[in-house]
Amino acid sequence: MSQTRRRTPARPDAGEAGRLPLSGAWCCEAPAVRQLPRRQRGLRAAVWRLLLATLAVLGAVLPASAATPGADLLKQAFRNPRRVAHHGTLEVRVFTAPRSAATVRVVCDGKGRERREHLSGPTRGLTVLTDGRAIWQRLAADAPWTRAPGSLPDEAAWERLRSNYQFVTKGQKRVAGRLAWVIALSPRHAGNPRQTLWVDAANALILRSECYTHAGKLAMTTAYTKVTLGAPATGALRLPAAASSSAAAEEWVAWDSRAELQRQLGTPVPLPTRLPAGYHPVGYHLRPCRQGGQLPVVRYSDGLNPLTLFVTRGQGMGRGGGRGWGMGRGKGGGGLGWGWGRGKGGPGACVVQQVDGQQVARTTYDNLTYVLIGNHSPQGLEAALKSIR
Amino acid sequence: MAKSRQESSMARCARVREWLPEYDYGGPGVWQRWQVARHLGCCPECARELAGLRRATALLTALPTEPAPADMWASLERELARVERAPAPARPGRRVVPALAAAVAAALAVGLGVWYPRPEPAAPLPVASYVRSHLALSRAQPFAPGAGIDTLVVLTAVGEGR
Repeated sequence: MSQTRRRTPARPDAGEAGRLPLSGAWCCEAPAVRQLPRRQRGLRAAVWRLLLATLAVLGAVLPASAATPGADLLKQAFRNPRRVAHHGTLEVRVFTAPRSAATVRVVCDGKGRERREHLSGPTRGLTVLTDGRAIWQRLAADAPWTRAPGSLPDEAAWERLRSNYQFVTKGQKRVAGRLAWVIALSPRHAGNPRQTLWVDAANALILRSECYTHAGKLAMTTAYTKVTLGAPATGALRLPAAASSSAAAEEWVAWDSRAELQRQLGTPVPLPTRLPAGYHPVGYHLRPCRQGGQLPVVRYSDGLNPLTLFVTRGQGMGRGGGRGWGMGRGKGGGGLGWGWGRGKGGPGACVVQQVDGQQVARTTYDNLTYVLIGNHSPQGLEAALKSIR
Repeated sequence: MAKSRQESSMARCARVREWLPEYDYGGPGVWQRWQVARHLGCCPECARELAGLRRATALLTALPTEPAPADMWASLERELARVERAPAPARPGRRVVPALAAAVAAALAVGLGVWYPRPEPAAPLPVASYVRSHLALSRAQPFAPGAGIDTLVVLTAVGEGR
């Protein structure tokens, strides 16, 4: 400290009072001394510019890497399903109980209509026809058509898929003689299933798919063994007459919003307030009840995986089911059947079981039974049902 | 601080939940009832617990009561008569009273066995029909493997009959 004091007066023309620079010599030197921070500032600015440039380059490069041809094709396939005119043979394998394998002839006009004829396996004779808005099916050539509602994807659905799943391009492979991008869709939120798709590199037709359960087990595969591009004969894609489709139809009336659904029902329906991460309501339906009247059905989706909530009247849990009793997660795993497990019976309790590869959670609330179904972790479904208000 | 407040809140919930079963039946005491009422006003979880208890009670009340076996009282009377006919012991009270108590206890046990609603497994819902409908709706998803889901829809429909 004392040394500093001794040095300071040694500066030329430094005044005594506060040692301020007074002379011209000191003033001339002063800018030279002050240029150091300016240089530093300049250096700092240069570093910042370099960083910004790096970020800009990264910003330009990263979306480019995310938007690989595979990802673009994925978007095209998602937003425009059944837009590739083709016909071919598809091998289907189901690995969840009941396990099965089938050969299916697929015919698509490239304008949204598709026909699937099951040629072998337990579903031999089954024919399914869809135009996106509805799905018709008959079990045999002489059986009546039944109709179920369909839905066309919208922009929000793609955004949901993009925000809830990560697309990882795993290179290219050949399927049925055609070059395809292999793209894995990995869920960003726990409890959801993953899926791998083989998308035709030329036209975004999905040539092969592998679907997994929420627990990561392979649930189902579909793969074209033979595919021919081009418009097929139009006769195969003629939709069934309205009269034949309405006889045994599942005519569920669709409504735009929960408010509209409740207005139609004439009573408020408590629904889950907390859904599994990433899920949004995508459909409100009213289905006819056997005892008369209508019952609500709400569909949720995260862009890839659907959940369906059915609401029925009454305590569907059986009477007298107390703590420790009731249907639960059986150790046996899949398949139809009822096992004693961890579930708790009685009103207000939530039980989960697995039926045909789907998790089925149910509970009762205010004399209503809620059944939530989907390929999702039991914990997620339970949490959703427990949030019913 | 927040943790201790949370813990005290949990402890309060636990204490109130001990009193909830008696709450609708005039228990557990005036002070406790006031505390429960005050707590229920600000704790939706405990209010829901009480609602659940009330629903369970309503269900149990709605259960049909099965009558006790017709010969239960007659057998009890026969037992009493047999005890009375027995030779008077030196200290009858010491033998008759335990026998009577045993008979009454046995009768009560039989009665309770008949009347007590035994937990029974819940009746299975036709879940397969819901699963089938869910799968049928799922076919409309863009990346849904339509042909595979067709198979599941049909097989589940077959399973409905099982």
